[in-house]
Amino acid sequence: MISFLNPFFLWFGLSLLIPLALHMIQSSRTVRLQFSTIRFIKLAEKRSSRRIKMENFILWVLRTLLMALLTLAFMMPMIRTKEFGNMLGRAARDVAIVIDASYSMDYKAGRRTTWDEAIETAAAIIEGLSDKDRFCVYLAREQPMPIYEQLTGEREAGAARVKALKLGVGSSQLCPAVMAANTALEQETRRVEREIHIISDNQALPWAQFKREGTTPDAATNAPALAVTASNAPTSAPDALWDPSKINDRTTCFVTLLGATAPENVSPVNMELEPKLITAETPCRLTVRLSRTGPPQETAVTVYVDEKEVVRRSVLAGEGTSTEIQFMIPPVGPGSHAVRIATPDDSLPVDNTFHFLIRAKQKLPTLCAGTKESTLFLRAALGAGINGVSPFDIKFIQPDQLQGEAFQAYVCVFLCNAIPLPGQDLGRLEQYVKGGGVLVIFPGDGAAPSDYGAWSCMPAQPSALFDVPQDKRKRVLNWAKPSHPMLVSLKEGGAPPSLAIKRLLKCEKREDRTETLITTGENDPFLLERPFGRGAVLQFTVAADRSWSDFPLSPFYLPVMHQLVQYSAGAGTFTPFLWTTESLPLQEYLPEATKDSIIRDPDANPVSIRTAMMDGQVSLHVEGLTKPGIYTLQDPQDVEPHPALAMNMTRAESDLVPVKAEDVPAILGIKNLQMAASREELLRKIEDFRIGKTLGEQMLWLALLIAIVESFYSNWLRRKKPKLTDSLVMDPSGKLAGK
Amino acid sequence: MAEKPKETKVEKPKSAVPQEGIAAFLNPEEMHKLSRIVLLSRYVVEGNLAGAHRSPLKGASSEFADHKAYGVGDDPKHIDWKVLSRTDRYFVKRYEDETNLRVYIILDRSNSMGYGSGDTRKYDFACRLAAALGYVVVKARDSVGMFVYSDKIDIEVEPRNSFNHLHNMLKRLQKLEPASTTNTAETLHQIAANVHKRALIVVISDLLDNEKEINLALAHFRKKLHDVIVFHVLDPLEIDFSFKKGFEFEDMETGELITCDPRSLSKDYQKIFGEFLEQYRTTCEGMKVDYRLVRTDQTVESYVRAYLEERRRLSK
Repeated sequence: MISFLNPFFLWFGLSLLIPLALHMIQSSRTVRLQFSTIRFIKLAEKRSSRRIKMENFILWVLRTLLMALLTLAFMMPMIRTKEFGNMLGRAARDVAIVIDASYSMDYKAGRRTTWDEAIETAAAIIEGLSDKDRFCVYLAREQPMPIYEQLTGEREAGAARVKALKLGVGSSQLCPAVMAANTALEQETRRVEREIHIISDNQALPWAQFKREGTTPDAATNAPALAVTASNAPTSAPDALWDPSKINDRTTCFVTLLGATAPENVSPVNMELEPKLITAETPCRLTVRLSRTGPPQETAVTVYVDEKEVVRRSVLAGEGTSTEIQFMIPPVGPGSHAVRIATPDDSLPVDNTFHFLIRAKQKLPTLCAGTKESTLFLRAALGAGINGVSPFDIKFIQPDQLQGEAFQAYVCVFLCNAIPLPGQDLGRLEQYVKGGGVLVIFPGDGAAPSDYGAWSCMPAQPSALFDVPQDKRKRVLNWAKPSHPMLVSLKEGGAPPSLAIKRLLKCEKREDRTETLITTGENDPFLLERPFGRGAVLQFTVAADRSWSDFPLSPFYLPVMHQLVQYSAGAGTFTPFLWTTESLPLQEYLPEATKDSIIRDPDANPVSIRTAMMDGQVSLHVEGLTKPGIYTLQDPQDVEPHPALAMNMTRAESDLVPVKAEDVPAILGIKNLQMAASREELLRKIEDFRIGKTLGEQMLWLALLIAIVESFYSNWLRRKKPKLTDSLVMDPSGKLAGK
Repeated sequence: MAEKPKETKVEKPKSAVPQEGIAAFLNPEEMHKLSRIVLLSRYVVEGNLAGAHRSPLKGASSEFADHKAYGVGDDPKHIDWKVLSRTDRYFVKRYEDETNLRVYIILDRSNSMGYGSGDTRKYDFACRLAAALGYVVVKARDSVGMFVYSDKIDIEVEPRNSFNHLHNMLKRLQKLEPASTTNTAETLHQIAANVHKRALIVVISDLLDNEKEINLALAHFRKKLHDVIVFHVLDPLEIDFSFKKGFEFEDMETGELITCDPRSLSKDYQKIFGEFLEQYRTTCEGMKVDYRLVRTDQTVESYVRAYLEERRRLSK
């Protein structure tokens, strides 16, 4: 539907009469001229009247058309896209704003960040609304974060609140936020004009979840997939399949991509320590993985331990690939040490630092619970060491002494013929395992298979005690998972070990995630492992002493036991770093913390510890671990706080691979889509969309074209024509030559 | 307003005292230039006086014509004695007669002759042309007469060969202005009927009348063995119709009005007018009438000189 911005200029339409009036005036001009005879004029006029009329008609049409176009141009015709809104007057509209709040929005282009532009753009959208318009605002993070969940009309307050928004340090996905925004719009059924505004940078990652069947947009395939792992890595939300059909046909989507089109960034995204078990005065090898966006560039990586620079190296970070760089960390003293990996400042400084902790132990504390007979061989095996010095700090107790033990102080707990145990001890042990401890269970004659039924952490519930026939007691041990960290150093060399097994715990009903590490005979399990919480439970099917087998007498007994302890110390009991999160269960990640402990964030502000009841037990949660850096723990009895947690923001957003603007329509698959690359362009398109698109400029161009045609035509009509004098062949005496 | 064509202005005699007669039309310089040329007739003419032109009569020239039987009254000195000796009969020798030229200038003074796009009207140009021709004729001791007509004969002057006669004739012409409609054909017929002796007839007109009738009138002259010259006097704008804007045109003879844009009409106008000129040219050529187109944007003196030179060359 066409309407006019300046209908006043309709009066200018009277100018259509000007060509006609000029023609009439010209025709009726009474300048009289006496001429010798009009006889020839009359004859000529009779001959050419039709041609003259046609020429005059064409000129009149061209001139009238020219005036009409000028009139229309000055009236500013607008093509309105919302016919109903125009018919009913100015229709009220509902607007949903989705702002990408990932830390990649902190990218600096000049003095301002993309985030600054984004919130100003959102505020401008809100401020540009009319009285009856309403809006809602969502931040796109890992999960949508509503700022105004329901539609509201408080424009001034909304704009102020949007301007006050702070950027988070996490990743983002636009799809869930857009769906949530659309849901908010759909709750209002009366409105007919709806808009969804998506404000993001040029990064491809937030568009990864806009996957639809049959489409494989580049943005989805280009989305970075940084394989960074941490024990609290956010589980990727199930792909919220984008369904454009859920977007109302009357909803128009505005996508504003504000970021740099060719961003550059270097960031440390992951680290790995080797060996995982660090004892005091032992150097370790640190592998740092760098992510680079942009052309290859030399960059320096510096490692600080306890804020002292210990090593620095330069590396050529390649384009689009992750680069690994290795450092040797000099020996550190026992205790917890804060380590920081830093790259030079760039346009996205927020991801230039990576924190982790090194916790070095003097010796590995190990607890063995069992009778003296049952732990005899284990005592001998763990007590052995280089030069007679054992790397383990072993404590042997009777099963009934478990009640007074703080399991969190041990890297590993052995139960040798210690089952059955009281329920309280059982619960504490299971909690210990959940928190990252490793429990090794050796069966014994003291427990019937039914006694294991109370253990929910068992890798497999024993079904029976099996006395192996005499002729089948000779058995060979097989490494079922030779790549397992515990077995990887045992598999080399020599023939497979063989044992004489007299009795075996039959374990046929295995739990989920249970793995058989070692088998014996005809695939009877010998050693089973089940991850449980952040820790693991290892279950042997023979006793720790020689009553069931000659395993304690075999040459493999000692290395297997040593590997068990070392594996336990390195696996799960300690996490060098965590991803920033809103809430973290303390029992799992910081077992030594109590409700009286004080945890401080990197700015030395205390963070809250919340008590909750879970499964009838009290659990502690620390909240607000959203600042990257080192968090300290101070127990009431401690004088000085010590580094307890190293929090890093997830690094997926560090890969700034840009999305192609021309791909966005295919990614979204929405019919009504407007793209903008700046705030000014967006506001202009909004205005064009809401008010209509002016055709004034096009009209003026057309008028110019018509004017040129008219000029050419009239000049062609009045071109210099040959005179009769020129065609007459006449000599000076006036004699005419014949034709 | 009529636009001024690019033309050479006719210089009129500069004098504080109003000029009369021939001095009103020709200045001394022009007369001096014209005095060296003559207007010759291409055909035999009948004059009253002895002159330089061939006469149909036998006279006393040295050119032998034929023999004639001697009769009473013949001069015996013309008897051809040689013929008498051979034939015993009396014959007298006769010789070609040479007489003077009688020129009749027929001048159109209808209203259409009053048109002029520049300073010079066709009528003014025609008068000066008549004066120049008259001067040349009298200077050669030939006789010149004049008919001035519009829808009828307004002035009739018998031919004589004196400058006084020419002077008086031009004084009468000087007093006339273009007036009335034209009736060229009828007038020419009347004149043809009145001129009995063979003479040189000079028609000066724009010929804007019924061309067939005019052609018949010219044929009337030729039938009576007159030598006829037609000076078709036209203004350049009448030929080209090259006006730059539209006007309401008024016919100078009929008063009829028409409004038009000459820019769009000029092509067809020129075509029609070309056909009009061609019709006169071909008809005159067929009747051996000397047809000349005269544009008013040229000087009379130079045109007359060019024309008479051309005529003298053709007469040889």
